[in-house]
Amino acid sequence: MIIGIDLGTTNSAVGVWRDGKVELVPNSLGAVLTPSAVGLDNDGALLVGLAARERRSTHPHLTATTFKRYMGTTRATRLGDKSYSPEELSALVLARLKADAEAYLGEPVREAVITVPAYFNDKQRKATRRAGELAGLKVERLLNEPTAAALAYGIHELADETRFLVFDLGGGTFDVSVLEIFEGVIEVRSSTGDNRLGGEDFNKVLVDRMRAAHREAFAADLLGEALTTRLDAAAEKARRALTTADRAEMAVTWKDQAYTLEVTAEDFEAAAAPLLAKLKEPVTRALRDGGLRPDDLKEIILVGGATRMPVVRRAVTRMFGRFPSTAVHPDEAVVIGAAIQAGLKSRDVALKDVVMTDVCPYSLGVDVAEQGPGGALRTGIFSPVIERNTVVPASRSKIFSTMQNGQRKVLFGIYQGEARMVSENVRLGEVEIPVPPAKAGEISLECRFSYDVNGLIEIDVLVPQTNERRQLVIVDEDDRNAPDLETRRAALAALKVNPRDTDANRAAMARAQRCYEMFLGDVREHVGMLLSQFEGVLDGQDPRQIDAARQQLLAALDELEGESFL
Amino acid sequence: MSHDIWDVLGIEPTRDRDTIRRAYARKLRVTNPEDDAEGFMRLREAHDEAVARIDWDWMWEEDEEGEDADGGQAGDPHAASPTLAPVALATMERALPASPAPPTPEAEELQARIERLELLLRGYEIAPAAELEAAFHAVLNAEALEQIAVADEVEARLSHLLLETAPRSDALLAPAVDAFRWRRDDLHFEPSAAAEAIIQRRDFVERRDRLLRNDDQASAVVAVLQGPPTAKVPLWRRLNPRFEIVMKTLLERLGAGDGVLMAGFDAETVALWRRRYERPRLSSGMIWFTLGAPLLAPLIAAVNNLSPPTLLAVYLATAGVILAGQLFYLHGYLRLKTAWEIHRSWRAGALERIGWAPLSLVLLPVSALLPDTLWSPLAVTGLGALLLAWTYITTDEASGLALPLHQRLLGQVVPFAWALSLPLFDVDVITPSMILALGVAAAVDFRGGTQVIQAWHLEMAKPLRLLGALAFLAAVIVAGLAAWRMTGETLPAWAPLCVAVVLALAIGHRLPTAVLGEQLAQVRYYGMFVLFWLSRGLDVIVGSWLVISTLWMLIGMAVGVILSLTIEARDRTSAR
Repeated sequence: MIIGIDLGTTNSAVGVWRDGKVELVPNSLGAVLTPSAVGLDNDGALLVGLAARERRSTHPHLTATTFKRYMGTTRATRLGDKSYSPEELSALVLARLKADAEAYLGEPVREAVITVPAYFNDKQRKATRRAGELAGLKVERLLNEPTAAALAYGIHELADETRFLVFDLGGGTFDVSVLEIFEGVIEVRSSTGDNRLGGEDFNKVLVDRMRAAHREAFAADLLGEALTTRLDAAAEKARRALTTADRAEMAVTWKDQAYTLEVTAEDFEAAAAPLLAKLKEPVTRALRDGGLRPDDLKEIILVGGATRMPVVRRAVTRMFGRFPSTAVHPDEAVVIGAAIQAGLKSRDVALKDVVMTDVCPYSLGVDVAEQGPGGALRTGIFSPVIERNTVVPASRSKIFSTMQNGQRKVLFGIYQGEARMVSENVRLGEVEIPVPPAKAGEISLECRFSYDVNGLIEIDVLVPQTNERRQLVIVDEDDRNAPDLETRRAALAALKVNPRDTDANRAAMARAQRCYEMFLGDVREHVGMLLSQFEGVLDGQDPRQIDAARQQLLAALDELEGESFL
Repeated sequence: MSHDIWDVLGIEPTRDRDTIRRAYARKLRVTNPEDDAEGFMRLREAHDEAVARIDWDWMWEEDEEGEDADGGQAGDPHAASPTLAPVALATMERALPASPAPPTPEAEELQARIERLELLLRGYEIAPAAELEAAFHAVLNAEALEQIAVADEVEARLSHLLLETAPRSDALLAPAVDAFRWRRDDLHFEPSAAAEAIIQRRDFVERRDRLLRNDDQASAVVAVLQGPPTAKVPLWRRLNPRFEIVMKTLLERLGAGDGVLMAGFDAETVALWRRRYERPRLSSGMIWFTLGAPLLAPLIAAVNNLSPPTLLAVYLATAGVILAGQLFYLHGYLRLKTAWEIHRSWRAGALERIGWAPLSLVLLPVSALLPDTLWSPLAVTGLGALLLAWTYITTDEASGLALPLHQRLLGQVVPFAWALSLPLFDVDVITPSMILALGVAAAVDFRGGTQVIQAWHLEMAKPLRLLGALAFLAAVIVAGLAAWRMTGETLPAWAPLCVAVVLALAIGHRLPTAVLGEQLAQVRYYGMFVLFWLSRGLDVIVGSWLVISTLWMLIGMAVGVILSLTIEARDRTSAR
């Protein structure tokens, strides 16, 4: 059985294709969405999911969130006395999702389709695949998130000939894809995005307002992580409240002092205007690259939690002059698409006529030098080999020649991006190849780039004169000396992770603790009382009583702080 | 490959896009990207090729059937000029109200703002730039523009409007390029023809404005080209060497086949001037040289103590050589200048290249008045440092503080004339602080002279030109030594050898200096200059100056060679 996983910045989810339809797998708390958070409990066990998320504001140093943004980098997060790489943290989340799926399906799971933002580069994709492998999953396919969402939508529109746009604004990334369906083929025509824009940036807007409103109070802890996470949490809550209400109260308790700020929807829209303006360019670009005009689109599909925000919806409506579709669930579309892809991958009968083609969202190429008019050498110019929005898998080659008399070797720097100068693009690696000495320009080199369906790149350089050949499967320089996958997997498996079945209790406890810190005075005492009551029941170890007590506690907390916001 | 794409797709050759797409979709079920990557790539290539051919095949047919199809298609404008039809249609659509649906208040507002801008650009009154910009930004800030479809339409409409109303719309070009994010360094940007034209015109306008600022000659040239072809240009204007150079540069640019640039000029006038410059003619520079040569006579007489008849003979001989040169030039045997004009730095007038320093004059009387104690050189140095800073600010055109050109020129000429005539005087009247002052003044003058050195390095790439330049250098040095002899000292017998060594080093250090960068090269030349005058003032013999400058060059060369070797090694590994 192949499972489909949406590994998000804020939340993750898992689904399967069974009996001709998608089934979303609930986690131990009964919810589809599992927060992408990892924390360290006081007893030294790792918490994954809601329990960790709840502890974010009370134990900022022991909680890791939004690590997907650092995927593909070596940035280490310290939890207690161990530090974790972004891919290890992701692996922990994936392992939890795998366990949920195994519990739901009643059989072991070994293979998965994992979604990544379309704009993830090779490094980030490799890191995601390694994370899957660390979690004991063979990653059958890395699927672009907007493509997944398009699958979730398109699977019901196969009979039609239609074009649509997927607007995917997640917690940390923004992707836009333009698709066409014809004759049962779902074809991505173009895909662009901004991998540094998401719901978290909208939180920052509110955090900045809060900081500005209470400048003196927060001045001493301007860069403190504890305060930042707390403000983030409050901002997130306020932002969600603004989805339905005209105004929301942002409340933070810091050093036993309550600070509040009332935010109205208009204020928020005005403050978020620069971010909203950034949404337009990728959309325009995707349309232009896809050769379509806004009128050609049948629907605009909104995906990703951040598109729930009325400001974003309004911005999209203004962009297209009409309302976007609500045909798919913004949080679940990606996981549904991943599950469909898993079904496609396992050649499910119900999907045998569905074919989907995707594109490479960015240009890939090498750095070259040019002789200027005055004879001056200009280096670092980007020469694309695979142009962006080429249908994948693709393999393209380009001929280059030597630059100097008697040149002995050629060094190709491999880059990804759209700027004319390589210095503004992402460097992926380099290939060096010896050439026989000759006059400048007499030796030619064929450089072939292959880009597979998973978005992974292979480079093959050939010197026809000598038949010398060099291959490069892009490897992250930082990973060359890292311990091999097997050891790392064993190390990760040996970590003490909080068992799945006590998750619900841990999450409830964590939430109560957070409330305790948040409220002051009488309410705080009341929460303290609830907390000790629940702890008493936990000590009794009677599952039925514990369940009842937990429900009671959660209901009481709901009453105090409004609905849980995950 | 070309013939079997249809086999891959499994259809007969066709130009019907739908058939190709359907065949592709059918084949995809068998060769899908997941299971058969190779097969899929072949299929996709065949599909792309087939779709690409829809257009060319059609053009082929157009050529073949051109004549006989003519009569049948005449009645249908769409079929007659299919390439033009979409453009024409789009233009018509723009002219008509946007859509039959009742326009929203935002759309009406936008329409009103565009009309206002259009009125400003096309109306009888010439609107000031600020008003135009305000109207333009009002259009860009219109609420309706948030809709992508509207924004695209407005972008196309505005770019055509701006092009049609050039040069009145020139002030709006840069804002338009910014607002529509037309960035050439981004591969995402695929400009439309109109956008491309606007960017080109923007570049031209910027270049022209830069040229006109602080430059009388350039404004004169532009005025001439923009005026009626019959207008007389005063002779004194045309005799200015820079007038000709600027005119040629501008004509070249206008002649590069760029219709947009031509918009600002009268085609007939431009053609007239081009014809005039295509004819062989007397170079104004040469004329000036011929006329000016007699003025040098008193100087030459003072230096060489020549009798008037000899002087006359020298002058006549010089004039003869110059006239012969002009004859060669007229008949096309002499083509030196074209190569020099490749670089703009050479096109600038020689005096302008040297830079600006009227205030450096102040240093000379100040240093002459100062008592010759240990402190006076220090005082002069301090003054000099202040002066250097001041010069730096006033010669930097970007700072907006640069003085007008003629004032700068006046300032430059005097200290140089003074410096060149110094050897004529008795050595005893020159105090060390005066020499220091002169060194600083010279350094200040050279501040603007960086480009000379830069151009020198660029131009010396060819062996023949290198030889010419070296010969010139040798002549200058020998002439300097000869002038020295007039002051009473005798030239050491090994001086020519020293000159040869210095020249050899000059050849050797060309590349290293280029590698070191113009800044360092400049500093070195200052150093050599100051050292020369210091050694002169301290009564050191000429030979020591040569030794010192040789050492100086050797050090520079060692550093330069090491640097250039490392850089070359790095460059060698980079691909073309």
